Amino acid sequence: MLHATAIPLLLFCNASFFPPPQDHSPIEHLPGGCQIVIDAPGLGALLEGGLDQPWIQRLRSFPGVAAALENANMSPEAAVGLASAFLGRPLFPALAELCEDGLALGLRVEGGEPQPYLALRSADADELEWLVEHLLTQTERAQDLPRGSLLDAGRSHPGYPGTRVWKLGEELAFALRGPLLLASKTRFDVDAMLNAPGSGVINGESWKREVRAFDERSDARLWVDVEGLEAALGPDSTADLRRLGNDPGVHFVLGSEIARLSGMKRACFELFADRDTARLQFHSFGGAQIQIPALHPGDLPAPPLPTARDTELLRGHLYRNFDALFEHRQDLFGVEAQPKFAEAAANLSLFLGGADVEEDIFPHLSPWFGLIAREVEMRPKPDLLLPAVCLVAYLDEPEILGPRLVAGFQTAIGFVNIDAAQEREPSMVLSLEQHQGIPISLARYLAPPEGEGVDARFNLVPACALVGDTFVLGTHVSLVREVAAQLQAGDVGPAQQAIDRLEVDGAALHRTFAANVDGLVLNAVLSEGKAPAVARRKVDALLTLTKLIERAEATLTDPAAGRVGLELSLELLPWKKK
Amino acid sequence: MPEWLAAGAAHSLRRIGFGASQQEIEGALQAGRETTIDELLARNACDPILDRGLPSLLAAGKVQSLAAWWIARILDGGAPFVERIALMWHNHFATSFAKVDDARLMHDQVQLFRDHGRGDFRKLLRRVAKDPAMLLWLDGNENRLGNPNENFARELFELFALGLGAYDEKDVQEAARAFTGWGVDRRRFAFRERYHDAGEKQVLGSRGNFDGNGVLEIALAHPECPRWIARRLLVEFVHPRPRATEIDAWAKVLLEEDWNIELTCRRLFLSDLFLSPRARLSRISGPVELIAGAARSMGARPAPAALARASADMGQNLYQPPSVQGWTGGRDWIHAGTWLARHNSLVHLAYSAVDQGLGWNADTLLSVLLPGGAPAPLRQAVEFELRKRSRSAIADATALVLTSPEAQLA
Repeated sequence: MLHATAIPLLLFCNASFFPPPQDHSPIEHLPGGCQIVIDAPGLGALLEGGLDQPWIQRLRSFPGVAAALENANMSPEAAVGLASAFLGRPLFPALAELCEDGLALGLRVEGGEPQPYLALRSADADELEWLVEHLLTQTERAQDLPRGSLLDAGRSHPGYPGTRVWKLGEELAFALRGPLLLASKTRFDVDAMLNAPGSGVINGESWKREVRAFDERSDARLWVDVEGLEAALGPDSTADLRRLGNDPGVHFVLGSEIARLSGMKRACFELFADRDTARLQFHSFGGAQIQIPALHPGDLPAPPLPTARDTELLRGHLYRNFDALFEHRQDLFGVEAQPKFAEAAANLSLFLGGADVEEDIFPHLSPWFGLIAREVEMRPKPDLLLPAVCLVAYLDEPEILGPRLVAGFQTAIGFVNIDAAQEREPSMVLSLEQHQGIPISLARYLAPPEGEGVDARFNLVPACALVGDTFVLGTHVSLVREVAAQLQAGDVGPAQQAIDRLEVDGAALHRTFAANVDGLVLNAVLSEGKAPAVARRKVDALLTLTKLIERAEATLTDPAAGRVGLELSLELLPWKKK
Repeated sequence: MPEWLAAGAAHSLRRIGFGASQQEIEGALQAGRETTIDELLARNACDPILDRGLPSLLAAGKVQSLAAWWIARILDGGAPFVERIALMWHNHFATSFAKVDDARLMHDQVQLFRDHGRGDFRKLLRRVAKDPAMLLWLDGNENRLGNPNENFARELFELFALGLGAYDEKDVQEAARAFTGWGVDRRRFAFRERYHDAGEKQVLGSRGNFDGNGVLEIALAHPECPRWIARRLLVEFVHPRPRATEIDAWAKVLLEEDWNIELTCRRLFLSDLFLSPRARLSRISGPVELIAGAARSMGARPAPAALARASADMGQNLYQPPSVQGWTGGRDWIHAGTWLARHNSLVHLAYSAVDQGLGWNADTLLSVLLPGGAPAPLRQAVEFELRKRSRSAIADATALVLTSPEAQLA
């Protein structure tokens, strides 16, 4: 309480301590201590398109948004017209001009309370001043307040010549200086923003060192001081994140690079957007470096995958060095994780005819894996239709390892059948076939009687094949046949340079969701307690989203030591104006 | 004829369906007793979204999801009597997924109760006897010529149609022979003649070359059968220990209505007995009716999957009754093992309801959750709690009412 009242007074009395006004960008006015910072230099350009902007048009195509707009008292166009009349200017051009030279938002969490800060820089100082005065006057009229009660509340700032400051109620204070508008909750906070250049958040060592390196062309950036938030909110707030690194499951499934995020101190997201594409780059800072080189692919490119087909839903490369993870398990994980490794090795050994996986299997298996998911024809067609997925593994010594893996597949089916027999459930029939000269091992359930519902298990016709030095294991034989034939024919794409990469085809994803829409709706009703109509809207939104996406890609990059880089790219289908 | 007041309307809506909101109770008062009951009996349309997603849910084969789906239908309230009667027959013809191990067959059986449970009981019994889930549950597939399995025949007499004392061991053995060859092939009823014992049998005093159908007709013709079914209806809808005179009277009504369950129930619901002081708050609510009733009364929308799990924790795992006798209910619902789960689930429900924005004063809270009236100490405690005016105080007061002894009664 003392600082909230006394310090502005102090500042008033010691105006000469303040630096003279300078031309600073909005982000430079965010005070030190902000744990979350958003800088949106490209917002003005986005707003210029108004309601015709393709992203806004896309947003309006979502059923929930469309329904809400339909039920609203007025159309968006009418609302924009009304707002424009209130502003005395066309809304979107005015907003675009308002943020033309950037907009920055900061959030400082202190004592559990979030403190927001907003800074924006207009292209035209006179226009900004007119707009602020006009808005205050209009608000006075709308609220039936005495004339001048808001407008005249502005005071010249004693410490910053040419700066006017308003304090409106308990929740808003703002300052206007030339083309700059600064807003927060209290006068004290606004003064802190005025004083920020030279001591604000971007003058911190980490910001200077890490964030300055980023691409200046990004349209928006989000910076999160994870360490600062942790200090403000307590260690529980990041406990789940911090546990990632010590979980072998995370290393096996998500990869050792993602596991490194457990130690991150700060993170930065950068957004690049244009009419039909959006790219989100993520960088973490301060995570532990991988001390075991084998857990990182280095310059080793991922081997080529079969060329994509129209039915393809997802493809990806994953780098998982099981050999190194097992070898260095005691260095990487705590004592509580060690039994899991022993159990995994024993189970794998059981499937692989007693082979010592650490000696006989992992050293001969490339750390690169391919992942492909495609839609396939299924007969009978399951009531819950799922796409087929296959894993492509590259073998260093296929003549030794290949037959072992094929035998392991057959053993696994045997185990599944024993388990099914104990549960009085149907078992699978194992068989061998030749497809374009490639031997394929497969297993399938006996077809259900005509007219009977087709259970989800009929999505499963597992199969495997060995093609040269490549082992293909899939959930459905038709996908394994397709992939094996492509590999044999050399129908493959180029080698990729990344750590992990996943690509998703929007059209195929949309078809998969559309085929299971009723099940997805019901799941939202049962699991989340949503009203059926609400659940339907939620799934429709998902369907709309997948309908808009042409292609999505997630790539784990290797930006520099001590960082984890993840890039998400979204290509949307070109928006056609209706 | 008792006066049609709020407490009676709430009692009717709770017993015939699964509870009602204050608004529904007021609607019932306005509509009058007969119209309300006819409307409750007639309603049979849940949100179609629930049915549209069913094939994929069945394809996944998870009985927990199926239990959640049933709870969602109950919460939906579109078919109150249909679901109430289905739950009653699920307990009467208690069949468990634990042995059947097939979600589709379990669903088919309960759907059979929905489709035929309100009609002619004789037709229902004939269908249940050939229901694949029942045949798997009571070892129809193992019931073969020369090695009869008595499970179905025994339960037919003891639990489904007659009750103990109406038959002897010899009747069971002979009836089991009649059901030989009745089994399941690929999820359908199958009669395998080569396994059937076509020889002469003597069942409940009748002699002949009966097959299973013949034995069912003999059981249905037995004078104890209408009494047994009337007893079941009285236990479910009136009092856990019906009097012999009541059983006789309502067995007569059942026969007058040509075994039609809905018509018999309609007369029961319009009778003085149904709203008599002896009937009101005479039963300890089973977990499903307790949590569904509380949620519906409060207008809360908890996740059906969570309610299904809560019900299982409280001792009523839908599709998995503990034995062929079903859930014995009554005081067995509340014991050291289940009270904690019951208490915790109700407290959780209270908090989630208040989190969804429900708020009330003591009068509305007590009239919604305890329409039969609240004892003075409970009212005082609720008023004291609500004076704190915070959300957690509202949740605590709600939890206090939901966990009170009075709220456990239906």
